[in-house]
Amino acid sequence: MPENMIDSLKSLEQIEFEEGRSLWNDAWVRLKRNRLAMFGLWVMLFLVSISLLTPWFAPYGYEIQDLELGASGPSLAHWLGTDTLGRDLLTRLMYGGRVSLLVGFAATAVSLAVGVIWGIVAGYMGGSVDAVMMRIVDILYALPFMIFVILLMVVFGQSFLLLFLAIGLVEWLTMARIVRGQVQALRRQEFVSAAIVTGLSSAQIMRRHILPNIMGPVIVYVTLTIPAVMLFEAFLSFLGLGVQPPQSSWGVLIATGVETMEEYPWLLIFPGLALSITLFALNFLGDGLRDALDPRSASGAGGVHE
Amino acid sequence: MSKLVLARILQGIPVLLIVVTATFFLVRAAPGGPFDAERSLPAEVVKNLEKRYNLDAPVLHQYVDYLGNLVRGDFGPSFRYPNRSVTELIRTGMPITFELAFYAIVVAVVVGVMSGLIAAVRPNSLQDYLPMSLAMTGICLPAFLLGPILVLIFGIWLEWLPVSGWGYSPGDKILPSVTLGSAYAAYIARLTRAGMLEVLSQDFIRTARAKGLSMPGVVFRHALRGGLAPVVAFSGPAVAGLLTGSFVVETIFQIPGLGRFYVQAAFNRDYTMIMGTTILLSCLIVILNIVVDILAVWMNPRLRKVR
Amino acid sequence: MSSQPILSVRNLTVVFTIRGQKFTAVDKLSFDIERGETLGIVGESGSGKSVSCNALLGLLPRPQAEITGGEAWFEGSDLLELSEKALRKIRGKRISMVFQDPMTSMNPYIRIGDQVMEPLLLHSRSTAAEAKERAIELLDQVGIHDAARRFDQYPHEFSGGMRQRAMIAMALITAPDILIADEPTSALDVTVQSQILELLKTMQEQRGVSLVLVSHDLGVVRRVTDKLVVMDRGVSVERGRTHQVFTTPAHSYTQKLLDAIPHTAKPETYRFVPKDAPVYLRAKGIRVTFSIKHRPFTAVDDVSFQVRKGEVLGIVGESGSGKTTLSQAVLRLVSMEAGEVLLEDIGIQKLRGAALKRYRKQVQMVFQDPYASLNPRMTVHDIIAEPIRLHQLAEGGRAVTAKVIRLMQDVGLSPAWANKYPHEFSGGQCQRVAIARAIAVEPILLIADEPVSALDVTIQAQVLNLLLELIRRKGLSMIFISHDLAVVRYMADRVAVMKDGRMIESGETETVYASPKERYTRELISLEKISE
Repeated sequence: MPENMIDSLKSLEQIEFEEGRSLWNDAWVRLKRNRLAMFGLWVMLFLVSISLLTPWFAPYGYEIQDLELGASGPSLAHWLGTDTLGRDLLTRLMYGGRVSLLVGFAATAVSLAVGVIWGIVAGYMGGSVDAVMMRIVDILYALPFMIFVILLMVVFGQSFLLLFLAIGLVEWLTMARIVRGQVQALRRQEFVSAAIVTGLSSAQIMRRHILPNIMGPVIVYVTLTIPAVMLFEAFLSFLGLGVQPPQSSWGVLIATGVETMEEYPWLLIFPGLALSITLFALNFLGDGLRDALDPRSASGAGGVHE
Repeated sequence: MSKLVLARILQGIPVLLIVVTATFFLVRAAPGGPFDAERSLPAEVVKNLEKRYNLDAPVLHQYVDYLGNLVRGDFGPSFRYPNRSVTELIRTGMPITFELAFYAIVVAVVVGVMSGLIAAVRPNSLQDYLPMSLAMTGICLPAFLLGPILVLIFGIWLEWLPVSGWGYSPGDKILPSVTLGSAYAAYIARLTRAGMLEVLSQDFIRTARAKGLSMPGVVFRHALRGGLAPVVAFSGPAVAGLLTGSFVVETIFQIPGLGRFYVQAAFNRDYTMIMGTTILLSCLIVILNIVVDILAVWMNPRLRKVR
Repeated sequence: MSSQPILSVRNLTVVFTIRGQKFTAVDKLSFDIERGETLGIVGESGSGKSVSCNALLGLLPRPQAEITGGEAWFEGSDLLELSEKALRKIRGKRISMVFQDPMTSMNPYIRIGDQVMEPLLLHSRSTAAEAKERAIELLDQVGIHDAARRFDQYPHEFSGGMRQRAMIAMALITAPDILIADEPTSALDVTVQSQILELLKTMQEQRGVSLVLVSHDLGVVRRVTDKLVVMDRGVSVERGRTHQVFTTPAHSYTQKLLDAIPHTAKPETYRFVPKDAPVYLRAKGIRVTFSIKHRPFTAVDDVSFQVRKGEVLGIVGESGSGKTTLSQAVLRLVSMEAGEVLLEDIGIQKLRGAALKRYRKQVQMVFQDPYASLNPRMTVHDIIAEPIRLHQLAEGGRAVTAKVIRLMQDVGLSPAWANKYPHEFSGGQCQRVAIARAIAVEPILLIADEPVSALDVTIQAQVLNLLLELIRRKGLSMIFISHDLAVVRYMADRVAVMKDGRMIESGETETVYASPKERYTRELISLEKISE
């Protein structure tokens, strides 16, 4: 080891390193300043933990009926009232929420996995690989998928697995486009050229230089896809084409609530509130994340479901 | 330009073919035939029915037949209402759905663009927060929730407006149009705001101001065209969304449009009807997407000549 | 020339509030300009020179910027006190502006002609037909051929230089009293730059307009202005007649600016001594072709050169001359259609695996944009350590860190900053990090593509000297690419001139500089000498 090297090894102990602030740190600081986004984050954490703990926390059993009571307004025994079959609404909301959130997360996970891989490969490889891959996306994009998902549900019965697979397979298209666009922009950045010149392999460059830099937009899009998916599930369930009884979701509860809304408005209002608040929370969080991750943008549009 | 139009139309044809083919084979692959529901039917009757609907022929044969009929605008007979053809049903439903979608678009564009502009001119002020909070509410209150709530408030409690029908009593078109349009008004408001803010931050806006243009002059002469580009790009998906959204709105307000037929057909497993409406709506969406693409290029002089 | 000044600015002060923090962008700026006079405002980025011009016309971004004091007298009224409505009558009519980037300063959605005549329609009673006639006349005067046809084109159909001509026509169409040009030539190529300056000067003389020219480029200011203001971090440090300031600068900052860009030959100590130095790199007949909109475009055409051990080869050319593509071909970032590159007599085109990795270790690159060339999500330590780890130049975490620290010291960065991220550094510091990364693998050849053109002038000199010093100490060779002839002359032992993808002339730097063979080279050098 050369002498100067030993010198600097010695000085290593003496140097007091200044703490750096990564872009993630900066983004977190900005996000914390955004009260609406933090509210959204807390609401989501709350909802997710409730959903996980529902079997132990629900005030009543899922199928327990009090037929003599029938539909009743909010009371001490039943905080949000009971439905026409005398079932506790809070319990049903909690179980329904599990389903709604699960569909939201699972379908988004499907779109995330397929979309990110597709987008990175197409964007990084470029050339004819990219052309073919994106042509496929373009063609699929032109198909009216909402209607196809509905058709799928009609034809093959309302299977739960099929539901989020179908929705996930629609959403990945946008994810793939976003990721590919990002990757293409990054590829032109000089630090990627620098990494090639350094001698890194393509796989190393994708992992170390590309992936960390597309995380921001991906996180944002994920946060905005979850509410879009939940909305779509509720839409299908409302039409009676989504989740089927005895399972229930917020969409199913809203649909049954509508039937009796004149007599028992709380059966519509509470499930509606649950869905709306969740959508609010996720959209605020998504907006906040986008602003936080991109300091340049002054809170733009988004959450647009295609 | 005309080359681009032609290219986009040619690209649309295979997509349409995929739509028709996928729909046809998906429905054929469904477990259980269309007459399974009525178990009481004797085997002979079923056989006759199948013969009548050409179901005993090989699938490929049926497919070719169906394609041929489609080209002639014939969607075949309805399984559910054997004496009415799907084309006939569609013909009664389509104008109603179109009218509904048209009013909804008017609501969405007028309300959306206006509030987006108002918000973008003074970002981060009350003038921005108020319409944008409303927009967020619009996005988080889906039609199947907003519709019943509006019915409850304006129809049942205040008794100002009729709660169902289409063209039967005065004012019965208001609630459905607002219900269907509100979410899109909200998206358009957000897109307009974002697009305008993006454009207003560009250098050529400063040039315009340095010429002595007033703020309205800058906004309308220099910023609006670029600022609305995201809205135009969104209108393709928006139309698709509106048409599917009409399923819910027509169900809530009991409007005899295409959407309601579709939902009923789905429950009744009326396969020819499902196929007919799916194909029709899909084709509409594909065509409208092409129109939007061409419009977007036409609006941007940089794209116009290059391609 | 001691008449009443047409514009008189006193103690102009502008304060910006960014994320709750206030800083003074312009601090008590004062200047006068008389009718028909040309005033230069010079300073580096962030000196407040553009902010002060925008402040005069009320074009500052609200609410971040606020004018907290001062006055600006123009025809008996204080511009800073005028209402927005009253200001609008002055903007574009009495005082008009030309901006830096002609690509973004024109509205891409509106025809050139409509944009040019817009101020006239706005401020006078002209009919559209009269305005159009006037616009075509003026477009013709600013040197746009076939103006009547060009009138109907869109900005994207104009080249950068032509767009700037149209901007000038637009600014002059209302016959204003004052024309403010904010870095009007900085986004343009040198040869075009000179034409635009010429045009501004002619227009100013013909029409008796007062011209305020804002620039970071002393050469530009020297050529055109009568008097100037030098700004440093919001404060005007020196004012005076241009000639006087250049010959006897009073303030140390002005001196620093004047010294920043070397206008000399390469310093003797760093010169290359060709005594039997072996040839490291040999390039023969390189050709690179791209397809742009399905049409083949030859970016580099039949270029050959060689670099010897310890030598600096300078490559000069304007944008689009193919100099960057050439460097990318040598680095195998783009593939060659024809020709070959030999490093120590080994062809690089077919290298794979370990051999390619060895080549990567031998040839390194420093890029133009200091921020874009560093991964924003990695610390400086990790950025410099990556090549060290990859090529196993140190064993174990501590040894790697020790090497990183040595490299940081080599390029003049405090090792205490090792855990910081690129966005926490200035452009000059980032470029030092990039240099440290490049020399971390102990290469034998360094390619620097416009390494200082994104930096402020005073920083440029520091980075150039750092490069020269490193080359001498480590015995490297370098290919130094730049559009700036002065910089290349200061850095290179030999120079090659590129134009339209071809290498049109090459030789010993001082020989080429003293007696250029090609007309194009002569033109470049003469432009260079004017601004000296």
